[in-house]
Amino acid sequence: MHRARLMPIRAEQVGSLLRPPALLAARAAFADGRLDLSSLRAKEDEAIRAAVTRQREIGLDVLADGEMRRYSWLTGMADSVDGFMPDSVMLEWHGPGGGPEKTTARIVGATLRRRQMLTAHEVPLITSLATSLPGLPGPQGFPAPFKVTVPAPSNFVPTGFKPGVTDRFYKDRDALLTDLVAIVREEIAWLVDQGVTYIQLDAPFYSHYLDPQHRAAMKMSGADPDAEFSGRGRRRQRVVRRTRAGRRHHRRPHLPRQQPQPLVHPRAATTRSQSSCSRASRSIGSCSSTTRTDRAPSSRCVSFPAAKTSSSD
Amino acid sequence: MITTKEPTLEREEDLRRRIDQAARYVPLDHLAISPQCGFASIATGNLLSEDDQWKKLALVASTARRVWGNS
Repeated sequence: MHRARLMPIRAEQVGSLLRPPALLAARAAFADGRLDLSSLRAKEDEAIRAAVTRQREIGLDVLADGEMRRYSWLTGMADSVDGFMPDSVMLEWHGPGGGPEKTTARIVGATLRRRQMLTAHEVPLITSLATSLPGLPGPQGFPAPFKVTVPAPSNFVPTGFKPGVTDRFYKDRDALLTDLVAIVREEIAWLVDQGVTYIQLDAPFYSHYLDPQHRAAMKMSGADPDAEFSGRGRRRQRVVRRTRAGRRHHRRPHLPRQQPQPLVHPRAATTRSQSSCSRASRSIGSCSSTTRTDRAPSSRCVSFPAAKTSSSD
Repeated sequence: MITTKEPTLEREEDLRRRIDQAARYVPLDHLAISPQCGFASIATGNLLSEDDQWKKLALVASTARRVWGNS
């Protein structure tokens, strides 16, 4: 087994980047039927290559494709899973750019059935860029650290569960979450198989559990925000537990030799979610948690194989 | 610390002060910085230019180098 070297992450972009005007024009043309899918993909490729080059020039520690292929950060779920309906709920956001906003997520109106991987069309380019570019900031020849963002299952409960519609197929919010957890678990397992080394779970709706307005709304619909929030933490652990991303490196000898270890990094910044992150990622030599107390030198690291690898795996 | 919703570029000294504040509660070695999530959570994007966006990301990287070095 080769020794792992911890590479601290100090500077990174969280997820999406502005789509260049040419890509926005291409998206509009595609929507109008004036452009075919392969031409749109070519424009996206162009935007991703340019964005990755710029991120490297700037010196960010982790590269991302900027979610250039997505309409929104979470629409990959409804685009890839049957059972969503073309209807959305309104959500209220606070702070700059806040206000009531119709979410881009869709409500659930049938039993969920995955049709394709959520990120199937995103992974090949970022993987090939990462393995063809010399390492950043690691030694030459190592894959550049890059990440893929995946919406956490919990996002699709407040946005997806509509009483009177969804409860014909799922008796309650928890039953819906069970199916969503399974879908995201499969996605993570698949991403790890593809050689993706850093998976970020996005869960901005966790903030709703702290917001008086959302808490009141949940209580009115018969949900207990505190019990639900505790449940979410446990479910999140279940998303990564027993996937290869959650196992120790030496139990994964089938990964390519020069492969950084998988890192699962939830975006939500809450005490509870961070502690579950800590549990999920401790065993893989990397963590985004500020609560970590074990021996690793840094809590936010990507782990890379040492420059010299031993042949005694 | 760094908003993705408005074009105004944050000042490095402010970021460093916030990092110092955070380091009173959490070891500096356990910290990292990034902008607030998403310059374009939806494809249409937030009300700032690509130039504004890259300046903010460059500030993230340069501040990180100054605070943590190349470690």
